[in-house]
Amino acid sequence: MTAARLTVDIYKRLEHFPLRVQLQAGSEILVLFGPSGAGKSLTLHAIAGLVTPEHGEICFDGHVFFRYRRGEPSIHVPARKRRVGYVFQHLALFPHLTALENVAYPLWRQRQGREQALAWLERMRLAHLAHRYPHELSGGQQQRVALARAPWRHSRAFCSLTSPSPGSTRRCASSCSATCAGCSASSAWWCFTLPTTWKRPLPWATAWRCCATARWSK
Amino acid sequence: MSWSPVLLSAQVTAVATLLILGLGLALGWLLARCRFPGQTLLETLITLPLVLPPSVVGYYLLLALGRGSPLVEWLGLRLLFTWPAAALAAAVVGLPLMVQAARAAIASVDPALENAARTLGSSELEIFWRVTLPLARRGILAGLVLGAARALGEFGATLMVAGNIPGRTQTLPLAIYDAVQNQQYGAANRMVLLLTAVGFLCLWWVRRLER
Repeated sequence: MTAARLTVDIYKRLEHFPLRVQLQAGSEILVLFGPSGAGKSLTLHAIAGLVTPEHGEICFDGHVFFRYRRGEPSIHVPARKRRVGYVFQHLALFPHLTALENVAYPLWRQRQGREQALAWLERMRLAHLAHRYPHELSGGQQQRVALARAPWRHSRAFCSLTSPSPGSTRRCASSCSATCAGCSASSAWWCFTLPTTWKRPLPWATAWRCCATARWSK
Repeated sequence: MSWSPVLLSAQVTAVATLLILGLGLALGWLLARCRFPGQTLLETLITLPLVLPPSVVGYYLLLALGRGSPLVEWLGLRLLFTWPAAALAAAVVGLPLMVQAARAAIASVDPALENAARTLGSSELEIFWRVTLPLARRGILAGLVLGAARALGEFGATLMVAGNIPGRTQTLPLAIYDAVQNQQYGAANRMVLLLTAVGFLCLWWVRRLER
């Protein structure tokens, strides 16, 4: 493992059990395993700032995203300032915007936002579908649009909640590698959540480091 | 048919519609997206003008705009028996329709889309403008049209707070009442037909929006 860049140490009371997560990750691709309902998605949500833990700390590259501990000033950076690219499980593409407008959504203030967005779509081999709406795209194409939208403005990190079916994960693999190659300058890392029932090795993860250092206590 | 009630009604309805739009959007968003103590109470209070007799709504407005109320004593707002009072009365009775529609439309927008916008660096206001509002616009527009139509037809509360002064506060519904009292059935017929046509078109539009 490379030097730790992301450290997560959080506690959150859930409906059925308290979730305690401690994990560290470097510049690799981190895969979170666990049975459904174990809190994999919730952990990623907490990193992105969409869920607030009861207490603990989340740091990335020396930036404190979240800190709530006795005796220390509490910090809670809102999601929009964390620059964590996020691919949602159900993709969450904006249905009223075309593929291009979806990718350009965070770039609208920039002068060359549209060109940048188009470049991302080209990288995903989607440029010819730029003016289609999400519902006019196939599942795999939608996934690639979501991947192209996530790495905006040199995101510090990516989180991706991947659907549990291995087929869609493999289909997504080549697109993932394209995204990673495209933003290696900003040195990003990825999180995937997969159910434990899926025992097959990750064919695409061998290219990078893959580790699961999360400890779950129920 | 004199044109002054028509123009006055248009003016009153336009101002009332702007009030309904601003307040309705804010309250609809608040009720759809926030959880706070007293939420049910607020919802009930907003909806109350829908079931109360217009005279009761008018009476409350009279208290709010009359002598001794903070609006008059502190802000020096003397609105009673002017057309802005009629606009206010029209807005109060039209607001419940807008708030209900806006709340339902905003609640139907997937929160995951708003979360996605958050991770893409949008502020809450920007999310409302660029994600929530475009996705909820049909429902919101339907509510606004209904609210505006109701505001145009407001009679009772308007009579109590703005009076029935020809050329100054006499809107179409009040002018119809006057025309019938004075047995000017020709004028009454024309104004009745006009209001019926506008109401019919509004509802027609709303049905099309909801499809």
